[in-house]
Amino acid sequence: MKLHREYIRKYKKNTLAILCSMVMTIALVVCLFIVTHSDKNIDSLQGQYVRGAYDIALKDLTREQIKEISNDKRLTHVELEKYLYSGMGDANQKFAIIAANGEYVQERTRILKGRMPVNKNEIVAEVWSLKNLGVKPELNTEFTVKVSDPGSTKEDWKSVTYRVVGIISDNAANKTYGNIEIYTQFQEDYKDASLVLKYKKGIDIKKEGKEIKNQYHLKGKQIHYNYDVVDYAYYQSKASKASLLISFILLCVCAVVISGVYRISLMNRSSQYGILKAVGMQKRQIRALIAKELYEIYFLSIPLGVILGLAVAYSLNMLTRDKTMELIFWGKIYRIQLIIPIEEIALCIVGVGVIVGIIVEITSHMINRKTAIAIIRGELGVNNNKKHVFMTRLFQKMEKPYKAIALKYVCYDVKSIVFVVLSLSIGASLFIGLFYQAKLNHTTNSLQKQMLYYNGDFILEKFNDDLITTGLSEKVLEQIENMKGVRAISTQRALPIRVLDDKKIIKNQNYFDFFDRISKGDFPFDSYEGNDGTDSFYMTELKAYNSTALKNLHKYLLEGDYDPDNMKKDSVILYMPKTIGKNDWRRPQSYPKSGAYVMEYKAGDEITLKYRTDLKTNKNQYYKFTDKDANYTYKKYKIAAIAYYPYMKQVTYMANAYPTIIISEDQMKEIVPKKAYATITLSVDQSLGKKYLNQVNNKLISLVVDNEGATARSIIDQIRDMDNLFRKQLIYSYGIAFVVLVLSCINIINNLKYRIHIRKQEISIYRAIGIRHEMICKMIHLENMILGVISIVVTCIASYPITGYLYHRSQISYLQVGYQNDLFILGVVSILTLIICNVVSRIVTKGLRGSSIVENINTVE
Amino acid sequence: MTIVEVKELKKYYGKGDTEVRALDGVNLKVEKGEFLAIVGTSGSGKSTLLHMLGGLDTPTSGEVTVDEKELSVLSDDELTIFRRRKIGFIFQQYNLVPILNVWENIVLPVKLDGKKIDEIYINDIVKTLGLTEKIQSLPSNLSGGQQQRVAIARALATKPAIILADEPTGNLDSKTSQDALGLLKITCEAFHQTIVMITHNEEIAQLADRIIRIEDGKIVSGERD
Repeated sequence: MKLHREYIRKYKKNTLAILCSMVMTIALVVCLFIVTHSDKNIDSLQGQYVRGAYDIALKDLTREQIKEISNDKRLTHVELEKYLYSGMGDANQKFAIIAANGEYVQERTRILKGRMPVNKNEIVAEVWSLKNLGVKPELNTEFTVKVSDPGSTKEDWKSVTYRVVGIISDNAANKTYGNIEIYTQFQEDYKDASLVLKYKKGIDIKKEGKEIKNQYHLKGKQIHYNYDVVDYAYYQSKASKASLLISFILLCVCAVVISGVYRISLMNRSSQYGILKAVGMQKRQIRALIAKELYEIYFLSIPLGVILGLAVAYSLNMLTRDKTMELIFWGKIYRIQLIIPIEEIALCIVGVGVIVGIIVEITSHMINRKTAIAIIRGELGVNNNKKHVFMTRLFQKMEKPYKAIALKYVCYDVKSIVFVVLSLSIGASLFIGLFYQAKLNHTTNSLQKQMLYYNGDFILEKFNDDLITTGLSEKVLEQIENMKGVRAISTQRALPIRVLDDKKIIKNQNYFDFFDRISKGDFPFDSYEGNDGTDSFYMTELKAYNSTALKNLHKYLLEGDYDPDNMKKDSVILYMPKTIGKNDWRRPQSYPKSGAYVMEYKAGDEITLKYRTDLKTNKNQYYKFTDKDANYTYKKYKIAAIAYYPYMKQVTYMANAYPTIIISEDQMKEIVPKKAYATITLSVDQSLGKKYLNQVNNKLISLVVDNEGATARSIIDQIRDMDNLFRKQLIYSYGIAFVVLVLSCINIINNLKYRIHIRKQEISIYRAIGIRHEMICKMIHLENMILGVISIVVTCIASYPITGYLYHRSQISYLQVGYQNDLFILGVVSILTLIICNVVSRIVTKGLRGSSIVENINTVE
Repeated sequence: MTIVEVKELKKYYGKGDTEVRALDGVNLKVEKGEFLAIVGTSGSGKSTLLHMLGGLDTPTSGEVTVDEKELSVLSDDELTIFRRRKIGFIFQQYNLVPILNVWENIVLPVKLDGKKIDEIYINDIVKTLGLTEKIQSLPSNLSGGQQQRVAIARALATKPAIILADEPTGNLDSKTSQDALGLLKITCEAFHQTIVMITHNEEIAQLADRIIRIEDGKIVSGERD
């Protein structure tokens, strides 16, 4: 006779409860691993889609070097590209002509129509690029543009006619940054060409790069790693370790759940183990009996748990899949697959097996150390604690004895209290962790959008803001304002200025020296600061924002204040760049509130600036400070406020290093009456439909084509893709939080039921001597609420290291976001804990009323 | 004065072939201040009868009236309160609250009623039962006899109409049994309590004023005419 099978069969309810707890544990672990690995993969893919999917880029190689390196059999893709010409469209639109092979062009695009160019006058391009050049985006369209050699200082234009032979899908990077590029055939001219490589999976990219560098004696500047890809493997291993740690914590939670469920089933038939002992079952036989029962259930739970986990992961994936989000790599649409980390999942399943083993050991030890008669009497769960109970005086002091009994009992059964508090706290802490992670994702998403200036649906901008008299005209603005569905329009104008530097304002010289170093050679000036023989100054821009832009800017103030609708005549707002630390030269990636000012301006300070009276600031002499014959107009302002984010996009390097000075349109009208905008951003009512939004896009492009050197593009898709990624992460977090909540509730119910179960006799005594059912319920309710409060305290303490760990893991500190525990989530979880304790109290006491007093106090004949 | 009256009391368990007639038409009267012993073998129905008298269980049919209150018309809460005020239970296994000390166990029923503790009365009981030195001890620190004395004290604390003792010496050795019963009799006489005690031990039953025998759910002798 297989007694363990009889127990499994006869106690179906208990068996099912244990099976469910194991299945849920395995399912949770499987789902968690799949979801976190897949999520990280998507993160990386998104980054690659915008910033590049290659591994290594090499430049300034010889033809032979290129040929040799390209022959490596471990390469999956070899890209060749060369910046052929700088181009100028009919409306002075600036663009680049890149000679490239198919691999380079299609790294993150695919051919929608036509083919790759096969001779030097054929090109492929994106639809938005062609439209912005005023070229019909259709095959065989011919167009003539002015081109010059790259880096040529002479305005040496020649006309070239190209024919469109292929249309490619939008390149995410080009569209994000407004770079118009058209691609022609790569001729066998390797001078100044770049070689871009993609290796097979599993290759150590950094090692490869090092070998190439050593073998061909390359300088550091010649080799560039794509850190999105290269570091992904490193972060993946880090993420794996983090997932394992989280899984270990989850397993601990689940261990508590499984053991809690098993404890209840054990109590229901504990006397039978006493009888088995009484009739002669030895210790090892009892251990084997328990082990067989639990391990049979465990082995059954493995396939069920894995299937359930996979099903939940796939369901979450279906929920989060956005059909409009398309990733394209190497000319093909990339289908996002779920990543199933088999090794880690197997390890966790084994972990559950270990938990089962521990439960077997503890239970068999618990049974084996008691006498048979004690177990038959039901003393298996009884704590023969001979220590004196605390708070004896409470009983005398308290008017209502049930309160005193409740408090006493909390202190009496410490082991059970620890179990309940632990399971409540772990569940609550996990919940807090998951919601905190969701909050971090939200912050990251917002900051990334902020970094990329995704402050509207469409953006029109000049290529260069070195001349205030050119740009998007008032007529363009008027036409935009008259478009149906246009909600908010923000505009900016930019006037290059020189701000007098009397050396009284302390500035971070390390930072400015660094900027001068990196600017040399790339820009038409050698330094942001100088002396023109009259004044010492630094270069920056005076920007005019319309009232919508000023209203939006107001959200980002650090100090001071201003009225967006009514700026004072002599007031300015300063956008202040920051460094990561004082005397540091490193500028944060995003626009954080924290950090050190690069110049110690304060609200209320005065600044004096000067600008060229003739407004001709697009000349080299201006930047080289040699325009000594030019007349300058001086203006004095007071700093009304300082902001940490400029809100409107920085068009060029001009407003890159020093603080930008911002005034209103009305103030700028007095300096430059005629309006020509550097940037216009607008939001459109998206409920008007995709077709209408496309029409708006086309209309805006046609407007800029008629203008001086500007582009127009929609950033709706880019914002949508970022939001989709965030939504996906949110669904994952909330999905797992829900499962944790369910597990925690099961666990709490089991633990509190257990506490009632082992006190059945005591509770019946209370009823026998005259304590009403209502009072017993109040007593149990009070006990559970006390446990709830203790758990809240433990959770609050535990939340700090948990959220701290998540904060550091997210690397959001690189975006200069400081650590802060989320007290709101803490408050919500605390209230939820109390609600759960309240509700569970009602559930566990429900069955008490109808139960037989006589049976429970063991007085039945 | 009749303090307890039972009319045609029946308690059946199960149905058909498996029906068990624990009580099968019991009629009984108990006078105030009487010490009644109900004797019977195991399975005779004596415990069932006691539980009916104390409102711990509900009869299949019949009436139980304690202190002029018919128990069957009371709701669960009314019955609980009635038990608290009118009935003192002494169980075979003592059934003390393990987390309360001796004093707290004794005064618990009084505190439940929200009444002020008559400390003189309680101390008197404690002294009579020889529990003064153990007043702060937990039940786990007491011997069986001491625990049973605490149970007796608890039963007396509310000055109930009737004390129901279910094999009060069942878990005690003979000497302790004699002592416990002696004390029970003395305290009940001193405080003019009515006691109904069930036992299977004839010797112990002899201490009572009247003995009733019960067999197969029926009283076979000892019922007053």
